[in-house]
Amino acid sequence: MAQASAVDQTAIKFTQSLIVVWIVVAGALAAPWLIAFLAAALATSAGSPSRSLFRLLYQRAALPLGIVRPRVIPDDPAPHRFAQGVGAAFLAASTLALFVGAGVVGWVLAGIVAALALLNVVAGFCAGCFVYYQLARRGWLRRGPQGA
Amino acid sequence: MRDPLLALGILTIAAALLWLWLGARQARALRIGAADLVETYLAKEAGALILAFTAPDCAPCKTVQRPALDALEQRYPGRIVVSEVDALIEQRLAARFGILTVPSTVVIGPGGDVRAINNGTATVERLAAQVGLNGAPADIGV
Repeated sequence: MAQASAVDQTAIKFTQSLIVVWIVVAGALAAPWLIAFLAAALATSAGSPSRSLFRLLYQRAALPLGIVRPRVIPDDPAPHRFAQGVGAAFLAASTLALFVGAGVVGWVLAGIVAALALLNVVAGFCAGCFVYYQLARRGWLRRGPQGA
Repeated sequence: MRDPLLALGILTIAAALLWLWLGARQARALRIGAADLVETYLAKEAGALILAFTAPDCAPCKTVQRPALDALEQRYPGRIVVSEVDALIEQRLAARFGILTVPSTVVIGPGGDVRAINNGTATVERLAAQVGLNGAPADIGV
């Protein structure tokens, strides 16, 4: 695993917190278009981090206002982007369900994204790590090199 | 507005059931104890053993959990023993403590009593409290 790059852990927490708040607001307003917008924003963030709305808000608002302090540590950004991609896929499915009239399914899918993001922010439980570990221990994933 | 509330109810019930199931798993692991591991890993003068379950491809194990454990060892030198365990190799050991993910940490007292099982990353403060060494508050940003 390449460890040359660095990741701002505060930016990740900021993004996850924003996702939780966004989905709660969308649910409170019963506004599917907000979920659609979030799905698009997450997909953009996963595919092209430099155009990420979350990064923009973090760099242009949260940091200058002193709301948060950056904590940059050596890390591989790929798993974080993958997680955002998975979140975008869930929210895209949620959007689809909401617009075809399967409201409960749509809001459950969006709620799962919010719950997993909240769990990571509050309890440090990484859903991607959980899935990776469960697949790897069943031998469904090829193991990486020792000490990678 | 009815659909979001119904979805919230479904998710709340699912979360409650999951919480109960996890609690039962953890209670079982806490009851079993780990005297055999203490004999193997723990020095006489050390106050606690922390098993840190990891895996080769686990990024947070290296970037978040390892620095936290290093900080804990530096803060309380000689008081704790940290042993890293590859959860994919030591699957029986991981199953014994009901490990669900990596990183996970298991805090074991000198008498072999399992004090805590943390599925997911655990902060310095949390580990220090579980070990019983929560003296000065941490200010190291981990």
